[in-house]
Order: sequence, then C-alpha cells, then structure tokens
Amino acid sequence: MPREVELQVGYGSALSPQTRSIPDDEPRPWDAAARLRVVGKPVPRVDARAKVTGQAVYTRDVRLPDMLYGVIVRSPYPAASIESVDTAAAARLPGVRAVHVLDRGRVRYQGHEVAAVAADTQQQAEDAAAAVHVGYRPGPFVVSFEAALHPDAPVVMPGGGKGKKPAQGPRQNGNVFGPATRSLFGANRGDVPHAVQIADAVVEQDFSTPVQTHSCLETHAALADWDAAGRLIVYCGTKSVTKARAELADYFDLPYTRVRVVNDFVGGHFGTKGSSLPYAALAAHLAKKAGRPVKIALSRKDEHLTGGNRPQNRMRVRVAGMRDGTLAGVELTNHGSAGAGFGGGAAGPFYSIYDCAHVRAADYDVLMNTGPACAFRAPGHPQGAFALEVAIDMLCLRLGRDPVEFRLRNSCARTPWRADELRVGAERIGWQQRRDPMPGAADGPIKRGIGVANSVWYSVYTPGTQVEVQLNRDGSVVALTSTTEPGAGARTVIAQTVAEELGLDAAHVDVRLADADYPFSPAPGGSKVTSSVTPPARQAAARVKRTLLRHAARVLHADPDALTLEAGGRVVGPAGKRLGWRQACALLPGGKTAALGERADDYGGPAAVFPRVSLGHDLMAGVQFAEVSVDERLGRVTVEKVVAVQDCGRVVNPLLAESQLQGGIINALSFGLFEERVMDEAEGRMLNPDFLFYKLAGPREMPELDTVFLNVYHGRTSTDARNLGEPAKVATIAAVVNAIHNATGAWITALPVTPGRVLAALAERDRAAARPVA
Amino acid sequence: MSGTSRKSAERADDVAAAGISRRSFLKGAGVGAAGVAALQVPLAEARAADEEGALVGPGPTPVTLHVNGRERTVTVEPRVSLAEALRDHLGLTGTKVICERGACGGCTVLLDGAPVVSCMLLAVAVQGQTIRTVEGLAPDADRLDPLQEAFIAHDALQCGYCTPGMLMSCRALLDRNATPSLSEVKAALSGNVCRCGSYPHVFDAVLAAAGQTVDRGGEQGELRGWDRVRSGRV
Repeated sequence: MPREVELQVGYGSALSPQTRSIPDDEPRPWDAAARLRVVGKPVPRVDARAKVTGQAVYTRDVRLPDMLYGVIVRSPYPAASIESVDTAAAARLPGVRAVHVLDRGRVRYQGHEVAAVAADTQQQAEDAAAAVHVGYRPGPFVVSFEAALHPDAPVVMPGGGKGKKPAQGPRQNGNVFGPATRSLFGANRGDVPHAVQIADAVVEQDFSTPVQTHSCLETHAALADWDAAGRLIVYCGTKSVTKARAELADYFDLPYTRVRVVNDFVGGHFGTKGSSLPYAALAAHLAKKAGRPVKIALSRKDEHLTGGNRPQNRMRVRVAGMRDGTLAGVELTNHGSAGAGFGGGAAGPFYSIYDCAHVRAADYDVLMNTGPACAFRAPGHPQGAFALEVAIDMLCLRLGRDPVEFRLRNSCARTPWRADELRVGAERIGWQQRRDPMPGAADGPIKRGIGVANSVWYSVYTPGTQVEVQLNRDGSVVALTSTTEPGAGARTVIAQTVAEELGLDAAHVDVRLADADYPFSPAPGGSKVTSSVTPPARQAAARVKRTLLRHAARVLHADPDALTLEAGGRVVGPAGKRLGWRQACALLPGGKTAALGERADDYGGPAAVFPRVSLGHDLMAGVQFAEVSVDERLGRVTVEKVVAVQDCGRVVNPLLAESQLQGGIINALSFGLFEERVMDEAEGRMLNPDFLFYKLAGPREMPELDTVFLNVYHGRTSTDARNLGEPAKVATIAAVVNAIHNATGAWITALPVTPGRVLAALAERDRAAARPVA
Repeated sequence: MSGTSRKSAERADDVAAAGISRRSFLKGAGVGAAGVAALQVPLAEARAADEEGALVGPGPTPVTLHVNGRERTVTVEPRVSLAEALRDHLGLTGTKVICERGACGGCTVLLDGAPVVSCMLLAVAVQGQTIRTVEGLAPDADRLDPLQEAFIAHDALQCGYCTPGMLMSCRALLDRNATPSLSEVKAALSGNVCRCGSYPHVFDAVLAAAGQTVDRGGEQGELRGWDRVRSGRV
C-alpha cells in the first residue's frame, strides 16, 4: 500500500512542504530537511587508492597465462567492396596462432573491420595483420558535408542500411534523412511563422560545429577466454556489461548463462564503448580458434577512426523577439552528420531551455563515409546550445536588451531556480562592473569580455534498477550492481548511500560493479546512474538493516521498531540497550544476510516512458559565464575564467561533483577551441588520427574555474540525487563565444574557435562597420 | 570532394602493401642499441645502453632493466618499447600506453630521476639506467607518497587512466622544485593529457603536496540557502 509523506522540497530559501505518495517498503525519503552524515559530504573517491598506486586493473591491463595479442585488419579505403582476403602469408609468420575473416562484402569507412589475427606478441600480431592481403575494389565515396548533401553524391547506404534510424520521418533523399520534428528531448510547439511575422526583431544565422572524437584515454579493448566447459569469459572495456553479454551471447548463439562479461575500471567512455562489437567478438573468435585467451586493444589511430564521435552539425537558426524583451519564437534547421550512422540531432536546447511558446525544429541526418558517430556527453546539446545561445545574444543586441536580464525573463518559468543561478553567476563574474558596454571599444590590442549562456538537462532514470547489499558476520558490507565506473563516481555514491543508511563510513562498503551476473543497473549514458542506483542501494541497505535489527532485538529483548542504527553502526535501543556493529552482525544466521533493492518510479510517476529509460518531470537548469581575452593581432583567444552554477538535485558528493563539473567545462572548451577531425577529401581518410595533430585541451589552457552548486530538492526518490555528467558540458562554449563578442564586437559562428576564424570574424566586423547604414 | 580516381586508389594500395610503420622500420633496419638510443636522445635524454654499439636483434634478446629497485631480465625483440616491456613482460601495468607517440604523457616514468615517455624509448636502450614507475612511488606497502595522498584528498583523478603519468611528472617536478608556483606546475604537466578534465584538481593536489595552501576562496556560507559554494583559483 502506498503511503503519504510530507517532504520539504525546493531550493535555497524557496522551500515548501509537499505531500508525496510513496511505495510501501520505501525508507522515508531524504528531503531538504534531512540531516545526513555521509551523503552530501566531500568523501574521498573509494577507488582512488587503486588508481594512484597503479593497482587499478583496466581491461587493457588484464593479463592471463598463455594470453595472445590480437590485431584487427582494417580497410584503408572509405568505400570498397571486398573481393578476396588472403591470410596464408600472415598465418605462416612467426608466433601467429589464429586468423579470422569477417563475413563482410563491403566497407563503408576507413578503419572498417575486415579480419583479425592473434599472435604471441603484440609486435608479431601487427606484422601478421600487415601481411593479410585484402583485395579491395574501391568505390565512390563522400567524406565532406557539403558534398554529401549534393543530390549526385555517392550514396553511402542505399536503402538506408542497417542500424538506428532517425526517430521520426526517416525519409531518404540521397544521403539525407529526415526531418525529425521530435526527439527524446521535446517536440515542435506553437506557430513559429506567426511569431516571426509579428516580432520586432528577427535574427537568422548559420552555425557549424566540427566532428569531435571521444578520445577516451583507454581505447576500446577486450580479452576473451573460453573455459574448459565452453563458457565465454570476456573482460570488456565497455560501458555496459549487460549489453555486451547480450550481444556476444546472440553472436555466438549461447545462452546468457554461458557468457560472462566483466570489467573493473574503464579508462573513460563519454558515451562511446556502448557496444562490444565487433572487437570483443573478434577476440572471442580468435580465442576459440587458438584455444588460448586473446586480447585486442585498439590503437590510437583506430580509436579515432572507429571509436565513435560527436556528429558534425550545420545549423540554421532563427530567433524572434519583442521590444519588451520577450522571446517570441525559435527555429532550428539542423543537418547533422553521424558519418556512416545516425544521430546528428541538435534540437534539445531549442525545445528545453526557453519557455517560449513557439518552437520549430527540423533535424536531418546526413550520411558520409566516415566512422559512425555515437552518443557523446550531452548528445546534440553543446552544438545546439552554441547555436541557440549565441543567436539569443545577437537578438539581445538587436533589441537593446541585457543578456542576463533577457534570460531571467525568458528561461525561468519551467526552472525557476535558474533565476537564482543567473544572479549568483552574474555576481561572481562581475557582470555589472565588468561587462564592456561597448563591445570592442577598449584600447589596445588585447580585448577582454564576459559572456553568459544557459544549459539544460533532463531527469533520466531506469526504473527497475537493482542493487544488492550483503552483510557478513565480520561486519563487512558489500554492494553489488552491474553498472560500470568510467570515473564519474558510481562506486563512491553507492558506498555513501549504503553507509548513510547503516551508520557506517563510505570506506566500509565494498562496492563491486560491472559484472553482468550482478543485479542490473543501467550503463552510464543520459546522465542517469546516480539517480537510478542510489534509491535501490538505499532500499537494499534499509532491508538488511531491518534484518539486523530483528536479530539484535532478540538478544536485547527489545522491540525491533524501538532499535536504531547510529553512527559507527551501533545498535541503540531503549533503556541504554546497545550492541556494537560487529556484535550485531555476528548474530546473523549462517553469518550473512543479503537484500535486493529496486528503483521505483519517480514519486508521482514519470513524465515520459521510453524502452530503456524514463524521464522525470523536472529539468536541470545550469548557467555558465566566461571571461576571455582576445589578442586582436593574432586572433588568439584565452579563456581566463569560467563560472559555472549548476543544479543536479541533491549533490551526493561535492568533491566528486566539482570534478565532474570541471571536467564537463574542460571537455567543452576542448571541443570549442581545439578539436576537429580533419578529412582528406581526395583519399577519404582522416588526416589527424593521433594526439599530435588532434589537439586536446592541456594543462596550459586551463582557465580559472569557479564552480557553484545549488541543491534543488524535487522529492521524487528516496535520495533525491540526480546526475551531472552531461549538463556540465552544454553551456560552456556558447558563453565563451558570447564573451568573445563582448570583447571584440565580432561574432564567431563556426567551431573550433581557431585564430584564423577569429581574424576572419574581426575582419567581417570591420567591414560591417565601414558599410554605410542602409 | 566525392568520388575516387583510380590514381588515388592505387596510391592507397601502395601504402597498404608497403605496410610502413615505425615499428616495421625499426625491425627491418636491425637495431644497434647505441644507435637507436641516440635517436631518442632529443626526446628523452636517454644514454646509449651498450657503449660498444653491439648489434642485437631483430630476434628476441635478453634485456636487463633496473625497475623500482630491482633488476629484472626479459627476453624481447629490440623493437619493444620500454612501455611495452614494463606492461606486457614485467606486469607493471600502472604505466599506460595511450597515444603511442609521446604526445600524451600517459606512459611517463622516471629514468635516472628524469620524466620520460616510455612509449618512445626502446627497452634495450635503457639497460643500466634506473627506472621508476607508479608502482614504485609509494615508499612501502602501508604508506603512500605525499603526492598520492594529495591526489586522493583533492580528487585529482576521474577515470584514472592518465593518473600514473600525471603522478610521475609531478613527482619529478617536486624532486627538482619543492615549492613550485601554479604556472610551474602547469609547465611541468604540459606533456600530460587528461580527457576527464582532472587538471584543476591535479594542480590543487601538487600545490598541497608541496605544502602550499590551496586558495579555495572560502566563501562557504556567504550566499544564504546555497548548500555548497567553492571557488577554485587554479
């Protein structure tokens, strides 16, 4: 039977009681009034010691006796049919133990897998891979966006190919699919043409963003081993061990019970590593043939080519506003290229940031002969927010409105706490005192400016997520669940949640993740792990607690309901009755107890239900401010400071949350300022598949970072914890580009912000100033 | 532009057939230990391991490495890098190979106390020199290096894959400059790449390990109703 509870919800000083109906057997939810000991505290990462001592074993580090090294043979062509594969010479080379040829008649991008070899050493395997002779018949290809749009361009996937298609309206016109006019993040609303017609000012602008590769420092890797009983054991550097198990079981036609997939540590994923195919399957094929374990780890080049990427986007934006500072309508026409794949949408920010009643978005997917894109930290959002938030500042300029004031007026109805975030951020960057009222008017070649941009993210969770908690008679505590830990802190937040419920320290809880045999929790992606795993972790802990207190009650001759677990795990009862943690645990029959917790739906139900996730009702807001200096002689932009103000429900661990918010900002700066996959259009190959010419932001490019969190209590789960990975990355580059305009009066509309683009924008500014006003 | 000419296809074939790589070049050329070490000098200040300049390889050859205070002998082809020897042959997998080209610092180890990128050195070329890896950073099993403690306390890591390289670069910095400034820390780390964005907390950790207070702004409680406010001057 559900029961009613009154919870304190809200934020800052805007707290109020709300009655929520919660499922039976749910511990009393932690609300704004909850006084917590471990949750909400800057607890050190529970696996940090393993990481600083070199003892953390990542998939690439796993070594098994008699292990072989596998290397994948890949197409050097962007498009070709495969006429023959001759492995005889390779098989004769020293140390070579197995060769496997994929059943694939055609390759669609450079790096597409053709075959694989396994040998005693990595070096021998590389030699053997080079000795596999593949007879390719190269075909026409297209690797440039403009060319792909052309009606006469070579068609990358006649008939649309396999795999995920755009959510809606997958009409194909050559390489162009679409438009999609709704997504996970929203749908078209209102009457945009009318809003534009009656508006006092309309800005129409094109924006473009480059392909960003995930560039996880640990490349995709798998080590496959068949045991004597014919079970397949795969150490797989995937973000989803459960999906990998399903893929491999289906691939080899095995029951799930005969495939085990594990990994302890993942060297970053950022959205990729969602699939184990084909690399883990190739390792398994080779291992089966050789009768020995085989490890395949992708090279840096192959990771760039095939390890996933953020699609390239061309976005035409229209924003319309009224003289009184009201946003009348926004419109996006987006062409995104996910290479030989789908998923180039960028409409999320257009649907979700502003309260505006009139929104129209059209997302088109454009196919090219390049490695397929996949989800990358806030899919579509850094691109979409860049286009939207810069266009909004252009509109503010037209309307003579202050950008902060405009955002206060137009983006705070659905997320009222955004107003507080804007005010706090404005104060910390010095908006009133330091924003140049006349962009570009300062003396000297070094111009300084500040800018602002909004972010948005969603409440995402997976109902049915399970966590098991075990207590042992020696007092040790274990929590088990299948999600993976790429560095966001899942181990630590689960440990904190269980420890809070049991009166222990986080370090007391041994959290074991990433084994497909453990209770299910979702892979990272969509920012949903903390919101999905902490409620069932708490529920499981509450259940073992109840069992423990029942046994303690027997020896204390007390009513179990009269007993509490206090700090240090002490069982405390009436009349001074007490029992230490280990004394109590020693009472467990058989020396052990375990309980499963399960993620209920958000209290009040979800806002939307999708096959693998549900969306809650509340958006996350988030604002960022940037300060830049621009050397107008060199076109060089230095980001001096970023102020980020973010909500993510209840912050479970402020230390780790700060890491993650900083990480999102830095990844966004890297995306917006430095990174770009460069294709050779004549050969169809990537010109910079390395870390020498594919530039990632480094220590010297770090600005001062000022991160501020606002706890916003929604009263939707027993922990009220949300997530942070993706919202952290959404607003940064838009704030930087708006700051560049404030510094110089020049608009940047294409990323990355290279010195050449800055100089071109400055020249355009000067030409515009010289033109007589029409 | 789109389309492919016969000519470009042939060129691609040539490259594929030739299979030229750094490794096959080294293998095909045969390896004089001194000669290869000399190639590496500008990169890593390595000395020639074999003063006689005797030719070894291309087959496996015994290589003796002095790692973390112990002599260890492995039998590897001379084209095997120090990073590969440590990881694949000595089981010291704390050292990571990330970019394979000396561009990311993930494989940083200390060679006679100086930070080097071990993916750009041949194992055969560093015999006789002392090598220290992340596994040799802690003084003993129970104690950590103060830098390791500071990395934990300041959460100077996320996925942790760049962390061993970061630690070794930072250890080398503190060994030569016990009280670095922030800009000196950034300079010392300029060869180390982190994809998670742990840099600001790494800076905090290094400065803290050097006994310097990390200015956090101290505005806690200044803004009413905000549960946490931190400012990192990095």
